[in-house]
Amino acid sequence: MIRTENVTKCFGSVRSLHEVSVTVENGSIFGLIGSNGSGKSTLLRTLCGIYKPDQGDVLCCGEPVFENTAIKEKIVYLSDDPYFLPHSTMADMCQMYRSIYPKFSMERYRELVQKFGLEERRKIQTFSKGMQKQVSVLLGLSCMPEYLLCDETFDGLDPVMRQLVKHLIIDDVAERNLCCIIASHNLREVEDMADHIALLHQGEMVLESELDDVRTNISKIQLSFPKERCDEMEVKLQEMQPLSVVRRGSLFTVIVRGNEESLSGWVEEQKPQFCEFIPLTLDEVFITEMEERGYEFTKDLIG
Amino acid sequence: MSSQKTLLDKFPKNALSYFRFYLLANWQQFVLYLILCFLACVLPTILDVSEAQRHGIYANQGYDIAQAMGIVFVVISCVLGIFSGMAANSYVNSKQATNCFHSIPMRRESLFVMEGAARFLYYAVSSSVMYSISMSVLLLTYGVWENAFTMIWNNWLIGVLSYLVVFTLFQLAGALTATAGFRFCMAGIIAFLPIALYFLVVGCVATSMDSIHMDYYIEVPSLRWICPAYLIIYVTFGLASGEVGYPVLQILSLLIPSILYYTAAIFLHRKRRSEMAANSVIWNKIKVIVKYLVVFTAGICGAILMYSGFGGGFSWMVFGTVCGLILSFILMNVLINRSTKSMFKGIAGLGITTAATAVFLLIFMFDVFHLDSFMYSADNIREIELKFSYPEEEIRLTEREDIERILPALEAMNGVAYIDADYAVAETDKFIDADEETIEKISTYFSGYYDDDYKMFLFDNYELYMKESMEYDTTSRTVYDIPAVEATEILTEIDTETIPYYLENSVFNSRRVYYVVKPKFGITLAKTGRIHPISGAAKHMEELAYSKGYMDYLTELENRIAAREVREVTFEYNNSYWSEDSTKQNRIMKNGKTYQENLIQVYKESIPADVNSALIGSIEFYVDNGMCYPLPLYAGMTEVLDLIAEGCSKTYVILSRYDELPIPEENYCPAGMDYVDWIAEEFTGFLIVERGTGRSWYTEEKDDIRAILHNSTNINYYRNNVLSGAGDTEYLAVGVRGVGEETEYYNIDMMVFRDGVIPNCVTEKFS
Repeated sequence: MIRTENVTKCFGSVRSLHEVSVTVENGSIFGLIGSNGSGKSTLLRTLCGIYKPDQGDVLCCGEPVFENTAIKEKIVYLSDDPYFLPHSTMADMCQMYRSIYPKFSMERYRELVQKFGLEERRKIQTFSKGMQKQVSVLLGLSCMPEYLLCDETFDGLDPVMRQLVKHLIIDDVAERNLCCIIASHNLREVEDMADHIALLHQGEMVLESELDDVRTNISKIQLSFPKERCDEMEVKLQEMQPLSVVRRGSLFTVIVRGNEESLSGWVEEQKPQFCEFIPLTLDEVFITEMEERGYEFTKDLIG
Repeated sequence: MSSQKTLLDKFPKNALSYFRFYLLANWQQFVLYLILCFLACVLPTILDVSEAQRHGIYANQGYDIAQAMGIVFVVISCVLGIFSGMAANSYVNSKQATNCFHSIPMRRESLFVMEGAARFLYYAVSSSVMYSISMSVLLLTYGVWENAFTMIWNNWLIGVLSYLVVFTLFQLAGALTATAGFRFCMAGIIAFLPIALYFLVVGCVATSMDSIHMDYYIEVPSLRWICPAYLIIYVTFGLASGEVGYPVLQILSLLIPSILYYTAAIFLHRKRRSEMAANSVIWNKIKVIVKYLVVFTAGICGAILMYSGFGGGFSWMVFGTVCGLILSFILMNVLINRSTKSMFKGIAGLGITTAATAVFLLIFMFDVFHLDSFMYSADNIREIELKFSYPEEEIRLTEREDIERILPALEAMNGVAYIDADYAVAETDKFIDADEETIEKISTYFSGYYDDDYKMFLFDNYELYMKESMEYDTTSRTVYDIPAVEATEILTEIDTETIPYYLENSVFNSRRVYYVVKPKFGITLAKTGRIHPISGAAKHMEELAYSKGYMDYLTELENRIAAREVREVTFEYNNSYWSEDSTKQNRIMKNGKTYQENLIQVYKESIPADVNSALIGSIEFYVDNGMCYPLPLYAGMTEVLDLIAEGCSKTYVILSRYDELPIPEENYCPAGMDYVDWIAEEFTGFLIVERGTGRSWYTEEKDDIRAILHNSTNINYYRNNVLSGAGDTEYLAVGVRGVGEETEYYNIDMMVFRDGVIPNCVTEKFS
């Protein structure tokens, strides 16, 4: 288990994390989502011991991570911008990781080299950005980590490789009880893999929950009323304290906290001509939650 | 459990594993080190040996080449130290690399040490191999010379330690900054800024204190501790140049800074936050300070350069300051901002710096803190060292009594070269008919001014004097140098017009003295001045003459004379006439040794009482082979002059003063003119002292000069002014040291009348 307790991290006057507390169990995939600059990468770097928190604790198996060699042997951080030794080949990097990570598996390494189909003796700097990402994942997984921290790892990967990496991670979670934390803007990816998600905004943890709970706790309802009742219902719908209400003619789209069971009674009382509970995508959850916190990009950007 | 871990357990295994990986992965660097060391050590040795063998081997060839190799090895070690120091832990230059290395399971200090250690191993192995090959070639070619192995070992060791000093310095710089350029600059700042600031302060003090003993402050031993480059050069040239023995002190002097630098570097590296990757930890905070510090320094340097270096005046100093400030301001802006568009950024700061520079310069220029005249009180002085120029002698005064006596003389010298000096023109000085108006006039002299009416000032700055010919410069003068002549009746005949000539002679017969005043508390005061042979001020000569230090010096001289081999030392002079054709007669004085012993004893007794008379020259004792001990000779020292006359078996001793003596061959004499009459024109005055009576007579009358010259002889024709002994290595010389014949200045010779020929004018004067 890896967890943070009230972690705060500032860069000069910029507060990147503010009292963030999160717990990630082994054998789970934890999706870390948030707006740009929300602190996702900072949280990952703090979790793997790159950054020292200004306040709070980062604990892994109950021990602090920062400068703790024994603990860091269990953690692999896959950076969004991976680094390789200058002019090195994959074999060189393999030697480096092998010298540092005691559990590094050559067997796994060879197996992954085959799977990814990368040339081992070719200089990494001649690889494309996506291939470099693959090398990074390959090396990271070869270290046989207990904790894998992925920072935008799927960015730049083609769909095939994306699926491969997803499967590799999911297999490791299932087989080795791997704990994986994925920070990404690609909510579809997170949605596919994560069983837990956390939403960061301006360095603060906005939401942390199981993915299913997130989906069921917010409902999207489409309602239609007779034309003469529309104005009245527009006011009436505010009683639900909706997160958003969009009216197109006599059709209302309402996003509101609560599940279908708790809301259906009130909705039926309003006698709509048409009523449908539509499942929210993670994108919609993200946008709704962010809009509620003043991150109204649609108005600013789309107009 | 953790407390039960052994040291080995605590040392992370993956660090060692990474170290092994690093060594193997960077074998190219090792090859590079090997090539560099081969080019620096083996190749020059082979070339040198081949060259030497072509031109024939001489005895010390191996030693000489090994000595040169020692220095080359230190240089290449420093270069490799810079290379390694710049490259090791350079991952902090990149955010990507930092994130990678700080996420892996290795402690930051382990990473830091491993990278440095790997590079040191490359250096140590490659340099040792190549240095060993070089030395083996030398030993096999020239054989084993004395102390060969000690010398080679020492040189190698100093090379390795020099590498460590440079490497750790750059590591410290890297821990403070990050990127290559700033790391290099920071290393320069750590290495040279302290010593540069030191010299800046010394340079500024020197603008207000011409008498500062710069060499002392430049050679202060503690300076090498604030400048690693200086330290390496000092140790290298001390040891690599062939000194042998186990250099514990030198090893420590290089090892200690290395340890300090490295400890600080590790500490700072640990504290360095990952988020600061590719950024300087300290540069952003100090860049403004560094910028304006450099601008300030450049302004001061410009001022000093123009004022002192080019001998300019105030306006040149202003010009130098402005140039230094503006040029350095533009340069620093371009360098820091890496853009020519930013060259005028921070004009307000430049204004403040300019004001600060001006204030700083003016403080020193007008000596607001009275540094020039500053002197510690006797209570706070631990020791005074007086060091005289040729012949070099050092007197150390530690007795409170001696210190108190010498202080007034030093304080008198303090006034020399002081702008707007308020010298108390010797009211008691009978040499100058000074009324109050004169005193006023002299006391308000400024540097560079010259008053034709009062040429009574002396010149310290000989070169300046030479340059400006007969112009007098007041940069270094003191009325205390004017000898009081009350006791010397004969000089009362000299009118004011002739004073300068005496003063000139005083100058050129003077010596430079360096005095170092070491306080119990405070900074050592080291100054210099040109003074009479012993004291800067005739007025204070008495004080020094009574001092224990000086008396010890004379006693030592006395003992050395007394301790010479007991043998008959003849005392001789040539009784030649001025003409080459005249017969030369050597006069031998028996018991010369006794005579010389008497002379030093009489001198020793005489000097405290007679120092207040005119300085007429020096009496020179040649005691050891080639070593001359000149002592000041004052007109009041009649006992000494008597002894000189006695040594020559004469009634009178003549001191002659002349401009430049013509070549003593009649062929050069104008046709129809008597040679002696011809050369008499060059003599400007004779001082004649009568033996036994203390009476003397000074004349400048040309008839008298001609008459005296016709009847006299130089004491020694070939060696001016000398009564010489016949011993091979030991003899006594007596006379006045004037300037050389090549110069236009007056010389003083000692002469005697030839046997049986005393001119009437002399007989009449002393009858």
